[in-house]
Amino acid sequence: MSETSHGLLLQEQGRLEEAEVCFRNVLAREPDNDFVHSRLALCQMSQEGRKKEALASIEEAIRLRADEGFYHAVRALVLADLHRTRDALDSADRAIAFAPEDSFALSAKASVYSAMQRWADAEEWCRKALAIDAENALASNLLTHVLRLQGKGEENEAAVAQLLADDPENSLAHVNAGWAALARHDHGAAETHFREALRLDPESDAARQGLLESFKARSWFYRTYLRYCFFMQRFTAGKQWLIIIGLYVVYRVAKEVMDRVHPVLAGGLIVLWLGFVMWVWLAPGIGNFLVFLDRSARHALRASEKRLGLAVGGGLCAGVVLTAVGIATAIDGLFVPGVGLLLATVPASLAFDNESRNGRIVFGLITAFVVLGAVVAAWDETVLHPQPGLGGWTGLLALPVVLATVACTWLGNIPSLRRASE
Amino acid sequence: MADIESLKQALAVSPDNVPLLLMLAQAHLDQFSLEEARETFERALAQDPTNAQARTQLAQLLELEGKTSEAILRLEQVCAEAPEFGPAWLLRAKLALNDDDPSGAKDFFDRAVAIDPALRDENLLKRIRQASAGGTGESKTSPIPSPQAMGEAQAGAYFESSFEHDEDDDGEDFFDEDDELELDFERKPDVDFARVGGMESVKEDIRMKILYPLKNRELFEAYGKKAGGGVLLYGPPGCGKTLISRATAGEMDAKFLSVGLHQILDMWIGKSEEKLHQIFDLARRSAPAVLFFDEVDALAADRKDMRTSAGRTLINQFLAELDSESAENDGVLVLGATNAPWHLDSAFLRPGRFDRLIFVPPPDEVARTEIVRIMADGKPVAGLDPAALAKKLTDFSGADIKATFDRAVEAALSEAMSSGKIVPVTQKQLVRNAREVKPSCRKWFESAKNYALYANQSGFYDDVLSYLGIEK
Repeated sequence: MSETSHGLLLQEQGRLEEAEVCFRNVLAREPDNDFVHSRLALCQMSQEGRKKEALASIEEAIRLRADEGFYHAVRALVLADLHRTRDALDSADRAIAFAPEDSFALSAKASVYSAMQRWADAEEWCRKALAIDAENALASNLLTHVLRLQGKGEENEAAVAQLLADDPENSLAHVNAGWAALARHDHGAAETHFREALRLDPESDAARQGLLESFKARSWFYRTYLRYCFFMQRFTAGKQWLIIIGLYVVYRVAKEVMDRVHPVLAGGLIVLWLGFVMWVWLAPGIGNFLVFLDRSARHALRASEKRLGLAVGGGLCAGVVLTAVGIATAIDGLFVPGVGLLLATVPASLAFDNESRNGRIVFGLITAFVVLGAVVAAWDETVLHPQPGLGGWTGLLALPVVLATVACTWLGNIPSLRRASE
Repeated sequence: MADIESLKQALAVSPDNVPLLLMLAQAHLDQFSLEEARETFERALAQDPTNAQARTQLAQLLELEGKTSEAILRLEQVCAEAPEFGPAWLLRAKLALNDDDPSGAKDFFDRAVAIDPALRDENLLKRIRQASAGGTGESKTSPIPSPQAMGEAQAGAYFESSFEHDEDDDGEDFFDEDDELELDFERKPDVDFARVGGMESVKEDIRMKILYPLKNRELFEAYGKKAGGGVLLYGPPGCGKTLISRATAGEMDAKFLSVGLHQILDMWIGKSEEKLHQIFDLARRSAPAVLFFDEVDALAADRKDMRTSAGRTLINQFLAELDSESAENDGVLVLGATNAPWHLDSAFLRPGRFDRLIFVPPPDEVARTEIVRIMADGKPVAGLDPAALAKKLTDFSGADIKATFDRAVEAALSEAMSSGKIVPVTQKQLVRNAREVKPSCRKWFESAKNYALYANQSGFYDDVLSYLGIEK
């Protein structure tokens, strides 16, 4: 077994850092080995925060051998991961130009379309890839994914069944089967498939996340949220924005109408709208909190997910209790911090378990500001101005705290504050 | 370490007592009070100008002060005038090695050991051999050793301080063939469980699974079971799997044959299989023997993960060699060490092959204390409390502890180079550096936890769950 073979074995086993050492050893002796450069790129692209290095490696492979379609296909995948989808599409086209009968090149183009959320185009190219090579795992798994995202339930089920029949020991096939089960609201079957996926590949983060979702889906609260997510996933980012803005416009119009009809109804609508907004932002954190409470399921949570669950779920529980008791006893010193904690759960849901370092800083600071505001207001209501009514520091801080919380719901849609930098 | 005040009091009574003066000088040297040490050595030499010990230790002091040339010159004089004084030759070997003269170092080392076998320093000998080979001692074709190999090498190196020379060695040479196979053979290991600090749970596991069966062979055979066979040691890198394997061989009083990946793998088809067979053959002829395979997951990889048939034939060969039905492995204990037991082909875990598993966790507090002591040996460290430092190094592997010391030494060295004098490494500095070193075991446990939670139907990873405090 040569060192290259050893590196390939390690790569196959998912031991990417060790594989990289082998490949670098080979490159130290054979710096113009284009094949090893390409394998190095594949190692790097699968590791967090190393996509740019992967791009450099694959471009070196291409420099050494420009007419190899496989290398252009890999470059397309790396560029898609870097969200440079136009360049990725060009690269995929070049790969196909060099190797028109290469199933991998066709499935690379499908992957790029998937990254662009052009599901129909992705489906088309997946089918072309599978027409050449029915065993192309990348294409067959991607096909089930895009069918589900287009809401083509029956076709998705059929594709998944075919995947499992062809290779029941394929972890990714079980992951896709799990998501298909979640899409048809069968969280029990989903849990079975995700567990099987993890049994086959315990280090599969896709399987772990799927298992976590199936645990969370045990509660009706989270199941409803999943339905909303599956619905929205069918649309591109632009269309999702249109839907959200459209809903907001409808809310504003309805509120105006109800203000004239009956203020109580308008108040009810405001509560509903706020509840909807909070639910969308807080559901993942609440789901994590519920999983954390389960002694065996909690092991599926990463440390950052546990923190998210505790911050959001714990903050919500404490906030609700304090607010309710404050209202019942008319003690502003309880009511005000209770509301503050409830508001803090919104930025907290974006601060923990956020892939973006900038996002963690921004939302972390907002969370700290809101919590500090709640603490200062509590002190103000208890010590400085214990008389009924909100004044002093509370009055001063109320508006900034509310604005900061509302701002989070808009800032949270900025990709650079949610995605890891590369 | 002698109490300086007590020595001074004794010298007040007997000021010209040369042995006392030498003891005081050594005590000053241990504290890196170099000026005081120099004064005391000079006092001793004033009493006895030809005292070889005083002159050798003064040369050591000069070396610490960075005056290597003067130190070498003085040692040459000592060796010329007192050729039977072994420690002078040993120090000369160290200085020659530092001066990039490994062949000279080897000669001086051999001379020292010939005079006094108790002076044999395995660690120094290994460094001389490595310097002579012109590499790190890892694969000659690999400029960068694998992370696994580096971790194991660090952990293995830490136990090699001066052990007693084995006087029972009858000089019989079973291992001439090791030159051709380039295997690291030890005739009889110079370490046993008593010399390995901590790791009590692992030692007990080995006693129950390996040593007692071998010592009560007839009892086991009465039940139709064969003693020996294969044992798999698994755990995070750099935590002493190689060391405990050597110690196991020491407990058994068997020969220890350590086989690295680079010693088997060959680019030519069929050659790797041939080498593997030769190794097993050699072990069988040398029984009782412990055959230790490092990075065994590369030789015993899951065949589903292999793309080429070339790798599969090697795995099949390994299976055949282990298979006690087809091969005569009586008296041969096969130990495999791996950081990735989950990547082994399941065929290797069947009865008769690696059917016993031992989890080697990161060193416990006792083991860490011992590692700290060994790491501090030969370095300018002042005010060290090994136990207190070890307490702060939870989850650190041997390699991590070495990294902590390396950082502290580099910092002290930079300061020494700018100030021109020896600057000792302090406890405080080591604690500070320890905070900067991320324990390497944590990454391993992240992977191990996943396997223990989701792929543990056979109970293979129960020990990992137990270590992590997770209920099954």
